[in-house]
Amino acid sequence: MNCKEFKDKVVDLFDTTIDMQTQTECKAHMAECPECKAYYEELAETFKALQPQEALAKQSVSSPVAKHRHLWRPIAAAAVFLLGFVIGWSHLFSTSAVAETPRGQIFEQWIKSVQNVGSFQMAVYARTMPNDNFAYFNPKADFVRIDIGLLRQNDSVFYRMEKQNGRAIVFDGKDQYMWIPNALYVKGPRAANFLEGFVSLLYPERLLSMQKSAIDFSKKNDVVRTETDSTITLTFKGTEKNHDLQQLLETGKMGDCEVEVENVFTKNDGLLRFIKLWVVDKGQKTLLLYIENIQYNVMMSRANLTQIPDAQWMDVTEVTSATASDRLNNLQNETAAQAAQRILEAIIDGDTSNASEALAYYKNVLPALIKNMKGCKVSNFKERRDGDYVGTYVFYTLMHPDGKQEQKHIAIRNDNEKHIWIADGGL
Amino acid sequence: MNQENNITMNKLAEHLRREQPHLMRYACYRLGDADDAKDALQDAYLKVCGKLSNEKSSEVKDWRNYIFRTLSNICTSRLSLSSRLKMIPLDARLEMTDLPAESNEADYQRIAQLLVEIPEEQAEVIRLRIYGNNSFADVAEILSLPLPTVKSRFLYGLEKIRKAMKQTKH
Repeated sequence: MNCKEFKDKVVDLFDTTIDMQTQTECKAHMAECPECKAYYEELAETFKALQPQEALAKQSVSSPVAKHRHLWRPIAAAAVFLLGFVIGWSHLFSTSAVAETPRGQIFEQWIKSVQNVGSFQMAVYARTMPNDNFAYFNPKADFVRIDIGLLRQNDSVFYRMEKQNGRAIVFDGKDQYMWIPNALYVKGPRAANFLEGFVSLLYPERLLSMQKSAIDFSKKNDVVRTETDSTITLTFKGTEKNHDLQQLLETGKMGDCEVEVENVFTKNDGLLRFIKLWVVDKGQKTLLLYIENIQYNVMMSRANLTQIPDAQWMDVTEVTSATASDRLNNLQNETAAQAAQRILEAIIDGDTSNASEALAYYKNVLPALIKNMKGCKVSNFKERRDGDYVGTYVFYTLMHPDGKQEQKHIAIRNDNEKHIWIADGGL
Repeated sequence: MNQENNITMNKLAEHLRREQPHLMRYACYRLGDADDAKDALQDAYLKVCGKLSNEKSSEVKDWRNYIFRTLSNICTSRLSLSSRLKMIPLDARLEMTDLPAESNEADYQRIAQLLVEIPEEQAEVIRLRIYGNNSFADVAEILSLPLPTVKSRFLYGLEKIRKAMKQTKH
């Protein structure tokens, strides 16, 4: 990327979501070009000045807020959300322009150490399910090993993330591929959000930036530094509800939990090596995730990293493209409950043509699904939205052919280009 | 109202429930008064509901953006009626930016005085992006502008505010 290209793309760093490729390319350019870095920092500082920060700062230290004759509290509440969003996602570069106070600065040097590495690989152990989405965590589940490798080459980034015996994602610099062996093989453009909130673990600096932001956000969040002869440990405790590492654990049901993160750095190179992340719920502390020995700048074969299984890949951008306009109009006007009913009844009928778009990701397991649900009846559909999930959960009663009833739910989402409901989980 | 419109009404209510804080904040930063913002939001809601009884309602592909567009138009009408665009005197610009904010209203004043430095078309893009929490693509749809235009207005707006902030510091 040259300076002109940087100036063409820099505005994209201020969008609600940032394309990973653009971010990586811009960051690489800024590392080489002090002028462009200064330009970005000035823009970021201005952007920050436009946020309603003083109101937030006043609220976050719990000082009583004077009563106003105008209804500003809803705005402040929304602003709290916005700041969380902004500091969490919109400014991932740990430049001096990003929320900087003496408390959060403790993370600064460590963020700088890890953000310019050429490659890294690590094994993450997380309480999750092998086949579930990467953003899914469950404190009651067993640990699943997730191997992550990332390589930066010539302003491009390539990565591989693979759950042992389960779901995997590869980005080859152009397309993302996600698969579950013998069940799911989908591909999409680099903007396809296959990783969801788990993307935070793909870049160690993001995990650190989140903690820094949380420290800056509220004095209720705390960090303690300890050291040995060879290591420095920063232990973060997030007790400010909804502003600890919620974004990392987007769909992990972290609502009222406290989070504790132990970050261990090696003194000689300043690099983050070990991470442990606990959740504390009603006094019970559970280790949710740990990362052992992150290795940086390792020799890595791009061909091996981006190798994908030989399979028939379904392009997510084509899922809805063939839908006729009158049908599309009907699908767009469906409520989540209506869509869930249509999808489930299509499976039960054994004819899924009326739910082909919604079941696109389930193509390979449809025969098994149809067999399992043959003769069942579904009723009593109720929607429930969960703030952590972009889609909607629809709860329903499943009656088996033998008359046995079961309460179940399906997760569906319509955040695709055509705004139609697609089954996302629970089947 | 037919069944299709009942369904759309449910979707609309869901959008409003989800987006109300952003709509309210956007209107507040546009109008400078929370009571006016509340009224504008109510007007927008009524207008959108009215659209539902119109046969053309099926033409609306994205209700969220439609609500924002309606609210933006209502704010424009209200401002042109009351000339509130000139509420903050130009000669008072930026002097308050270094003052500690005593309240959320003071915070509003600080931000409004930054926005008064730039043309309204750029300020509107910034308000929709930051306070309405819209993506650039959404802003483009709301304002019926090409995406590159939205992005360049946003960038020029930030650059001008930055320049003005620098001049004030000196």
